[in-house]
Amino acid sequence: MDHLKLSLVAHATHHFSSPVSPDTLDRVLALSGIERGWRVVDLGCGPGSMALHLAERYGTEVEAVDRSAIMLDLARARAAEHPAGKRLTFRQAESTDWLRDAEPCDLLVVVGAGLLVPDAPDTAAQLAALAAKLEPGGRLLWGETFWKAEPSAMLKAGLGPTGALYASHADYVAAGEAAGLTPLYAAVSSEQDWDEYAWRYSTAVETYAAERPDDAEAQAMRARIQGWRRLYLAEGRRVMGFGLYLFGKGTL
Amino acid sequence: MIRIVSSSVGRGIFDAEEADPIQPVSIKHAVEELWADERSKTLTQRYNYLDYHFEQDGGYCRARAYLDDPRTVTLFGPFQSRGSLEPAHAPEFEEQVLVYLNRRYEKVKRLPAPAG
Repeated sequence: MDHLKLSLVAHATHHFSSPVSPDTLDRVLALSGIERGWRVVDLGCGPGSMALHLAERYGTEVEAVDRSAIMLDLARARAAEHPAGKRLTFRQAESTDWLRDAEPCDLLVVVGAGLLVPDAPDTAAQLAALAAKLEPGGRLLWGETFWKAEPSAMLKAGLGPTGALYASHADYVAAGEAAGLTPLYAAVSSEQDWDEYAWRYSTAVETYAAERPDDAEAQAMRARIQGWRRLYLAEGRRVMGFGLYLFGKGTL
Repeated sequence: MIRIVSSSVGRGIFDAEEADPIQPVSIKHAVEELWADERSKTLTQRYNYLDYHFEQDGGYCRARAYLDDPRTVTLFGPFQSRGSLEPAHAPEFEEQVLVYLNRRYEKVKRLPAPAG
């Protein structure tokens, strides 16, 4: 399965490529102190929707970073048509390279980007690596799926390697503290946010496959998405949450 | 959630405008939807693609990549200008465009086939 292809098809109609609404994002960012002149980085920016939102809503310059040159081309094309697009710059990098070489920033946005530090033993180590790229007084906005309740082994297996990374909402806040960060706020996506994300995700793939009845890869994507939807409805909707965590570094 | 695992770039941080030997003068993202008829509201085909436009003195190339097939891009040209379909002989320009596309896509299809 080509994961880039699946992601591009499945996320074709989403606002953001995560179960986060613009309102929820703004509710958290309002408490960050974000202002013009901040150096803002969106690490794992994908098609650039969140970076564009930040530039438009807060007037900041945003560095959009992704490992995929195709994703960055898509982000650049969208930025060219967007009134705030000129405030974006684009960098191509593996997350490990960016974390090693990049200059610190005032606000680091990492939402739904998964495992950015492959050899980090736990979430606290992941967050510590991100915290190292913040200026003193900087902010980390980190978003990830969490467990609202203990998942079954079947659900964890169905989510692949990333399912093993998820922890509870409280564990994520504690991980930030263990990484030397101060938790400032956390917002949890609503059931409506999740349903919006999940149904757009599965319907985009269903539509794509229905248009290509003779395409074996499209039908494989459909089978995968149907399995994912069954898991989501049977259990995921009950036990999966998505949190946006605002952490501060040093003097707040 | 699906994690992006393709298009690895190797070591380092690349300014998107420094890593390539040439930059497109524009990249356009378009979504076209074809409906069976207005009444039934039945979507029969959805095209989601990037169009790249490259220009250099004496040459123009366009490339299209459908985002539901992010392994393949189709290159048109080089032509003498954006408004012309006359083939141009611009091997250096053509090579730069190919390097740009090959950094992103596994397969570059040519339309029309280059002369010679």
